[in-house]
Amino acid sequence: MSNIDLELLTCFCDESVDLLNRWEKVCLQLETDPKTENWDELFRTAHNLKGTSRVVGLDAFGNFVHKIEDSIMQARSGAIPQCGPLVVQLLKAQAILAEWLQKVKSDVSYEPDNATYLLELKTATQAQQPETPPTKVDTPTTQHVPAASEPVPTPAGAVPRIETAEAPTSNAAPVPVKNRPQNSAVKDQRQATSIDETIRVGAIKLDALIQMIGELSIQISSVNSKQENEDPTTYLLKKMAKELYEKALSLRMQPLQPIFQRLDRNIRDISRSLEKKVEVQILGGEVELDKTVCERIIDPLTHMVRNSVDHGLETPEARLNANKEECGLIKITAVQDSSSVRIIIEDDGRGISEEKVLAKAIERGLIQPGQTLTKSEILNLIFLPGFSTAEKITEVSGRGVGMDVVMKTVEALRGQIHIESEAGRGSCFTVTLPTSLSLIDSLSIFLGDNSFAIPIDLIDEIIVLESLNTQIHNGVIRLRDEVIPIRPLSDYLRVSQNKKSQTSTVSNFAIVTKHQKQKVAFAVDKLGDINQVVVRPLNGTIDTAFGFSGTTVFSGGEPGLIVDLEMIARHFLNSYSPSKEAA
Amino acid sequence: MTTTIANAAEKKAPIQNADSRYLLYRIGTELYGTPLLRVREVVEYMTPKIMPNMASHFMGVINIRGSIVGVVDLRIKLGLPAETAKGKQALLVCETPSGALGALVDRIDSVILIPESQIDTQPPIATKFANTSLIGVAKLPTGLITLINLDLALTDDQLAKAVA
Repeated sequence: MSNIDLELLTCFCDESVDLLNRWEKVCLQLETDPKTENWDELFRTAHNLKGTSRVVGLDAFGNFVHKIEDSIMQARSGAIPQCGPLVVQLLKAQAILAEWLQKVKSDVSYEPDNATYLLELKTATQAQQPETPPTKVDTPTTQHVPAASEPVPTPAGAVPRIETAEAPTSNAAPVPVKNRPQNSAVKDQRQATSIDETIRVGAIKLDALIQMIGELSIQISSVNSKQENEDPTTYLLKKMAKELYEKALSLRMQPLQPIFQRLDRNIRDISRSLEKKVEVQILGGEVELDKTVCERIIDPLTHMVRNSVDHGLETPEARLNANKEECGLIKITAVQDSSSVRIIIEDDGRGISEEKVLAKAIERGLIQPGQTLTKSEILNLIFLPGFSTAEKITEVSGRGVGMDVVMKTVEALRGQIHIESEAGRGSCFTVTLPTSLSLIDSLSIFLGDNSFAIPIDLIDEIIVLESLNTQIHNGVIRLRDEVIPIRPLSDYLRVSQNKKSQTSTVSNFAIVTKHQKQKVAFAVDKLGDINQVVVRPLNGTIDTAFGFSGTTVFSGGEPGLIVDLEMIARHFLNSYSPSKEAA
Repeated sequence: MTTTIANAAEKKAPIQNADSRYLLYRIGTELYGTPLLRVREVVEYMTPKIMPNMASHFMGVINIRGSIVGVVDLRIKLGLPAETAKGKQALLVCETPSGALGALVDRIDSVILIPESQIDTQPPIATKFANTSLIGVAKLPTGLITLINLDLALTDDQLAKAVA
């Protein structure tokens, strides 16, 4: 083996991550669309990988890729009648290479024994018989109505249903469209428009830059902020500083596409091992999220998607028996709202059984047998620690540690999860995440002499407490046609006795917030200004403090504490029982 | 905003033995010292912004060049009654593994060189600081100085208070 320069090696390994991502993406495309262009792109990717690996000195790696190149060439020239098995092997190769790169970074002489794999690869290139591909390839539009060629006997009821595939969809929210439009056309269009020009920059450098720009913004905005007539230069300066800051933050934004691709791959792998048929539709990969959010959301999304395949989707026979199509559908969509992003994971499986959930929750002692819960409360029980409805713990999921960790991770990112489900028809999970972790609009409120900042996007509305219709009675107030609980915010932001201000506090306003569709009002004394502020996470020494999600510095230099109204609302609602308040 | 009051000893040997230079400060009637290198900076007293749901010796947060840093009242931590802010109070900012933390002391005294020979590492007296942060007691002609690693004393301090 030639001499290997460690620095070059690390550089190569990092850059190859992109190449292997592309490899995986093209293979997944080849499964549904074996066009020559896709084979071309795969070849180019492999060729690129081979070349650079040899430059760095990884000869064994390069030789291995060379052998794979040969098989790609064969497929491209049409010498292989049935490419399905080959694509399976090529995806395996991607996994082998990815692991190789990981291991070689710490052990330069790492070289896996690929003899078995190469044999399998050779067999795949010689596949002659047409095989039914393990994941659904055909579009279930009317032109593909399986007639005589369908090997699985379809029950009589299924055939008329397929013929009416064009009929309008039913009204249930979580059920995806029965008539499935071919998604790849939409996929291709989007790839064509986004030119993949990127530059690799170390994340640490970027963070340092953003931090400095943030401090610059703060300093600039504190210049002459109290003057009545701001001179034009200062005004422009402030405007530019704000724009500069927003642009710097956007540097950290990454598209969700690579994450979705990983999910696609996961679904494919799991469905194979569980012998279920799944079609994946992905929309909105170009939607962007902050880098940190992207990194942290992968695990929760992966877990949810695994649940969909493992627990949500039925086996092909069960589906046919239920008059559904044999192939299940999982739809992953990303939607950009004004200040947040929604990631929606839908499946058309068996839905979440409320009876099972209730039974399990009672069995685990998470709720009392007599309690009455709304459907949404029952569904949310799955987020409690120690919950799992799997009959047996499978390798894939079922240990009962999943959904509560998912919820915690999402909440730590200041996000929310909403579940909708209908027995027999499917489930829909919506994860909502704020786009920007750092720049928010906040309203200052006063509790006595102390002021705190509440993020505007957590405020549903503000009520003036003195008006006739909003009298507090037994801890609740009437808000138009609703009755919602109300508490003093100072109950949750407790100041120790020696620091309590001398002025008596009278609550004049209430801030209404929503948690999981439940409204709560918190009374405050006075309202202050609305400012756009840069939020920093709490300093490590104080980050266990209850009720705060971050800190900021106002334009005059005063420190600001950002109230985590969501956490406070959740804390209150967890111990709140409406029946106690009645009468 | 860093204030250090040099001592005659320091003027003679400014660079030598950086490790044996101690920043001396008063809390109540006692004189304490911390290795100078373990104090990130000394900051003039500014009124902290009150932060709820924190331990009673936690005073609040302040803004140091754009960063929000918590402040602990060492008087209260040592069990002495709190005092209203007087002129010469100062904040010693130390780095702990979880981040920077400020400690309020009554008065900064001086920076002096204390050779190891003058430090008793097994003092017979009980001090109010935990043993993990105690270096020892220095015996000087002028009196006794309790030497502690302030950053260690501030580390792992349970600052947050649970809310029912």
